[in-house]
Amino acid sequence: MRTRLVHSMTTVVLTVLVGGLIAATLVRDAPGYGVDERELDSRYSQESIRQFREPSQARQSIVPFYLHYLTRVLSGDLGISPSFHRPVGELIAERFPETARSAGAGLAMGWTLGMLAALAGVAVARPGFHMVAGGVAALLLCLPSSVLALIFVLVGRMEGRSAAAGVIALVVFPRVFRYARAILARVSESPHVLMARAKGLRPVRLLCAHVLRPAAPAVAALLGASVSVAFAAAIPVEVLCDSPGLGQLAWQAALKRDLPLLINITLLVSVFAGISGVAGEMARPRPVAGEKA
Amino acid sequence: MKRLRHAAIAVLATIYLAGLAAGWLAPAGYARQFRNAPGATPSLAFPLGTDELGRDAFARLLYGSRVSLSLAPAAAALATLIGAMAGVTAGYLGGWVDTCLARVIDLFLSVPWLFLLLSVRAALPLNVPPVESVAITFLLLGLLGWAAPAHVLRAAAREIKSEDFMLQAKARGCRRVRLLAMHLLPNLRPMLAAQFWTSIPVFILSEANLGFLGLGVTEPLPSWGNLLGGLQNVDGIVSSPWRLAPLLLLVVVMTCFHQVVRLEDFSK
Repeated sequence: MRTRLVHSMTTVVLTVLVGGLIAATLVRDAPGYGVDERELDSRYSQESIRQFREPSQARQSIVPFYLHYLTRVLSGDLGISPSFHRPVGELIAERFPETARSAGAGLAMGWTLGMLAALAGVAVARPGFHMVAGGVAALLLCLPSSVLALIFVLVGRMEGRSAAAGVIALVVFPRVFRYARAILARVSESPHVLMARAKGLRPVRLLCAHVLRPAAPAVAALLGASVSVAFAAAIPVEVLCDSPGLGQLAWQAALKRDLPLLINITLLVSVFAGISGVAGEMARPRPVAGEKA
Repeated sequence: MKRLRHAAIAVLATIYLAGLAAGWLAPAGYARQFRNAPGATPSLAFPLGTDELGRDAFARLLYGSRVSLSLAPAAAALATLIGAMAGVTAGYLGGWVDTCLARVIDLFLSVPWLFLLLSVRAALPLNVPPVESVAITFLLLGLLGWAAPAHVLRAAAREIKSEDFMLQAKARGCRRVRLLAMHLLPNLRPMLAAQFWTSIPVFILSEANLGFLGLGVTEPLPSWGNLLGGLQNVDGIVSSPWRLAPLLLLVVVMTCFHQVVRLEDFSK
């Protein structure tokens, strides 16, 4: 267990370091990097323009640029957003709680709905139920999150955090439902469940003690992926539902080509998704020797 | 189930062919503005009416379908190709090559897809001509979407590598290249097909989300993304429901893809 935790955490740290390097390369090599707006002002002399260029020229190659970036990040300085003219850390700290709340509520609702529907599917075992639940899940998978958000805003007349949470729940639900249904169906066909059913165990007890419990670790493995899906959905959802979170900030940063801000948001979200992935990985049972994964 | 799948393929083929025949079905083109008929209701001349600039909505839908349905498979092919190269190399060679490539795959998989797309898209010029924006959007999808296929193909390659027939071939002195070409790759073909087909709807949805956010294909060239973006102008959707045609078409196409992409069919 400890080895797996250390291995997974190392993966997250390496991911952040390599991701940071790629991010720094992107920022450094993006067209327009280091160009000061004042350079376009014809009133400044060539000497002044040379002075404006000096700070960015001092960190010309990528390695020193990355090291400088890492040092700053470790000391808590994520830089200044060129478009908002405010510290990136301050902007993220301001917007993060909004996204955390809407994504958290959306994940909780999506997981609850998905698990309930999957459990009901195993318990009811009627073709009609499978067709309806499967059809709803398939329809939701066919719609981009932006369209789901638009439907919420148009039909539900909802905006802000509650709408964002609702849409994220609808994005997460079909994935959880399909994955959990497959696992629960497989477990419910295992010999010990058939034996328990033959012995006349009550359906609720059968479901909770003999199906849900052994399936729980495998279902939990989807946690990391669902966090990633929820954060990704947050971009169009927050834009359309007018929820001032990280997704909306990332979109504004993308439109203004504010790469330092966008890259830092992406790295932060990746760390969260990575940590959730580690949690899910920890819950997943290891295949026993001789058994295929 | 097979009949349903064939029907889905037929619907997809019809929509794609209609997109290809857009020049013949809608000779007005996607950019021509009928200034005397802005916001027109459906008629024989304009089966889906016109938009606020007087452009034929039916023509734009057909041309948009052509763009999305031609380039999403191209991006999927690129992603599958890169994924296959990385995944098969990692799975087949094993050792430190596998460890390094697995870390890179994990890195790409751990970044939420839309954030990754947004970051790289924003690093490139935003104000580009429409054709360039199409190339950038779908190239990005292809170049960044390789990690999921690579992850699956790596696992598959590792599994096949340890199969008895591979060990026997190796014991009989079969060379590495021959092992790869004659034994491994043919057995990976169903997985490659599955990855290709599952990537297409993902890329269509991603393009739709990017277009909706104004970071995809730029006007006046239509794509499903920027056509759906037109729905943001909510006034009158209730009184002119035909404006929902791009959304309906997207749902139909995605449903068809979900019918075509039934993973169990690829395992045969």
